[in-house]
Amino acid sequence: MAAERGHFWRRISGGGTLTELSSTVPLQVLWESWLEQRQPSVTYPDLRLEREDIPPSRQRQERLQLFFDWWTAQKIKAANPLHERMVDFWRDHFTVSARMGPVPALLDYEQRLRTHALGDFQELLWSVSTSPMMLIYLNNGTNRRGRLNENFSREVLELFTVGPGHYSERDIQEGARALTGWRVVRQEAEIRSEFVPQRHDAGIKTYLGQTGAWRPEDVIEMLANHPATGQRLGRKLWSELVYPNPEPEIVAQLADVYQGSRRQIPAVLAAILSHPQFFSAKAYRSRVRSPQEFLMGSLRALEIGFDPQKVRTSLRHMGNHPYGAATVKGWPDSWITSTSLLNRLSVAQQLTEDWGDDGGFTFEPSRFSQQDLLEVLLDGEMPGAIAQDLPRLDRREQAAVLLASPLYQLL
Amino acid sequence: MHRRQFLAWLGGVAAVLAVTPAQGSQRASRQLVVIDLVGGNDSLNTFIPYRDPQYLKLRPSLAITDGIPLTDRVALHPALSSWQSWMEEGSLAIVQNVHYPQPSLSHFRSRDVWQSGEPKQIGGSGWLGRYLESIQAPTQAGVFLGEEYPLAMMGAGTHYLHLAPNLLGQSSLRDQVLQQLYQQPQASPLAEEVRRTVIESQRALAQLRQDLERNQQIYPKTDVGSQLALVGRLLRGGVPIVYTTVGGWDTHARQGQRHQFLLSRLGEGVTALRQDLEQAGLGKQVTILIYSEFGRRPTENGNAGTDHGTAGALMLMRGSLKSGVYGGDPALDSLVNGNLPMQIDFRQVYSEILTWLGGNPESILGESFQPLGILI
Repeated sequence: MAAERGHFWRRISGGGTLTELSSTVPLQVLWESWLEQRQPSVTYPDLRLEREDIPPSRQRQERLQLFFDWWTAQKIKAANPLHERMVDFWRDHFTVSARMGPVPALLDYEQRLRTHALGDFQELLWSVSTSPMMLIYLNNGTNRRGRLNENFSREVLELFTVGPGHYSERDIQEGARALTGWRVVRQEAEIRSEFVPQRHDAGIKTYLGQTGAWRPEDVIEMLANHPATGQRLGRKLWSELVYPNPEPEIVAQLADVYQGSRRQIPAVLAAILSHPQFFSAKAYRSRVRSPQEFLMGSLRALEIGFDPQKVRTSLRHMGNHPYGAATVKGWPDSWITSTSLLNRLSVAQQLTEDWGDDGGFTFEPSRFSQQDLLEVLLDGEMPGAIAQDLPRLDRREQAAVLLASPLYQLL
Repeated sequence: MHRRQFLAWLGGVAAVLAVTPAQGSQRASRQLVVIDLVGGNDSLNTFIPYRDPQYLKLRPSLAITDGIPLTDRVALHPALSSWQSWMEEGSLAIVQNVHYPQPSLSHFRSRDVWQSGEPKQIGGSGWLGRYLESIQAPTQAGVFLGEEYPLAMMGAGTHYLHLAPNLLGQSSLRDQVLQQLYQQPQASPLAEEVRRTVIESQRALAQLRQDLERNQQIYPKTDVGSQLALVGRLLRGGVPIVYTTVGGWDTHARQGQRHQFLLSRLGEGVTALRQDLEQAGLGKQVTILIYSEFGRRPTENGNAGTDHGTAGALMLMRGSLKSGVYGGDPALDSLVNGNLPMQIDFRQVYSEILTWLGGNPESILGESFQPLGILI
């Protein structure tokens, strides 16, 4: 039972707290209530700076810091952890880069992800596709009649929806025409996007076998309702929440739910979370934590206080800075790399060190017994090799060793 | 990095170390070592303004009164006595009051500024990464030896190798327990893959360490000593840029003994490194830059320590350079918000180094800066 609760919380939030793990509320009651709460209230940061007399480039740095301070705190304290998990999922699915857009556009992007994370996939896809951030990142904001840019048209097919094998190069070209018309408007600190009919190619296009005077919303509708999209999302959600490479029957089952519910993300999640395989041996510890899952999960589970700047530095150090993936493909498939793992071991030590008044991290050793740490980090199981010597360490060192253990690197 | 790539990475380390200076047809003719003192070194107690009456007032319990005078204004902390003659010999320059405009007292922000070389807008690259890129350096032209994020070496491509020195030693009980844990094969194949990746990289680093201990008798038997022995080995091997970090300088409380300890470890280590380089005939072709992300507050705090400050002193060393103390005296009587005003922009120093290396400072730093005339 301890293992079941531990597994559930690892998959949702990177790990449960001592309180969450010892609660007796049935897990299904928990996730059902989370799925009902589709738009948890979030207080977004105010990006206006106190001092406006600083140079614009410096203002950007300060705004970025305000944004990431908010981002870090939000991720730890989120009242609906399943919603937060899905925001992470969509942020990784719809990759954009902080380097490429103004900070208000980044915040606007987070808001869109948070609004639709537990909604209709078609609305999510539309909102992301017409966001200033995505219009900048994949150049659809400069894709206009007579001056086409295929970047977004290609990636929306290849990465965001149906995936390779379901479209031709011709579909990419025709899609690019249909997707023309949107642009980004910047007015001082404000940034928004708008559809300009004169920029749109209103001609007839043949897209995925259908012919018509398609507009951007038609493309999004066709893609969101394409059978391959439901399969793709089902496979990807299952791989992240249960185990990698699900069997074809499971994928078909999830695609049916997607189609039958008219693209409702909570319906697909409910099918996954209530599936008998969710708690199977195959699912247990079947993924390697990403550095974000390692760090944010540890901060949350052990209720460690933090300096957001230190969190950012550590994530960068481990190669997983939020909105920092090198390409639109997103983060690497495997995090088992020598430098990444070695860095993680030194972060494990930093997380539990005594930083004094100096920011960094604040781990409170007095809140935990040795057994508590084992419960929170390793489902209560003492690794045989250190059963004799672990008790000789102080609480901080014990936590550091367990955080650095091979098993803890798995979700 | 998968197992295969990891083996390639180890091969890279071995290759970097295997090159001998005698075969050095391709070796860089000018090399740079950066020693980054992480945490903020107290430069006022490193290079002591011993004739300034303000100094004793600001530092009632921490003032160093037995410094070794280098000039009529500046005395050296006694822990650095082995550096005493370098100024006269023409191999040490001290630049005081160096910092960046609109300073932040945060370690993280300051480290980012110094490493990126871009105080206005920190992108994803470092000043040395951009240099290596500008000369189209091969993949492992630089080595970053430290646990921190290697921003200084980052560029669009990878031109550096990252080694973490903390993994060279496993002395504490905690590390021993961790070792025990990693000796136990894991039932889960995925956990076993994690375990083996970590074990193999540690084994490679341990091998490296043994190799160094056999060969480097001149270095002190300390953490900093073995770290700098590795730096020496890399330089003998022809690596053009080595960036290394030494931690512990954030002396908020009971600074006196702690700082003495840090400086003496650093002092002995750097002395050994310079001796090693001289023996290898590299004394004049290697420049050593030692800096910290900020200096500490001139007024001592209530815990016999010092808090975060702004401008500080950095050091440049090379077999022959224009010795002296640059950047003027610390303006202890005209502090800005309690901290020292900056006299020298850190990019002036970078610009000087980049020019000496044969790079184009203006394109790497985005602006041109007035040289100080030290590295001639």
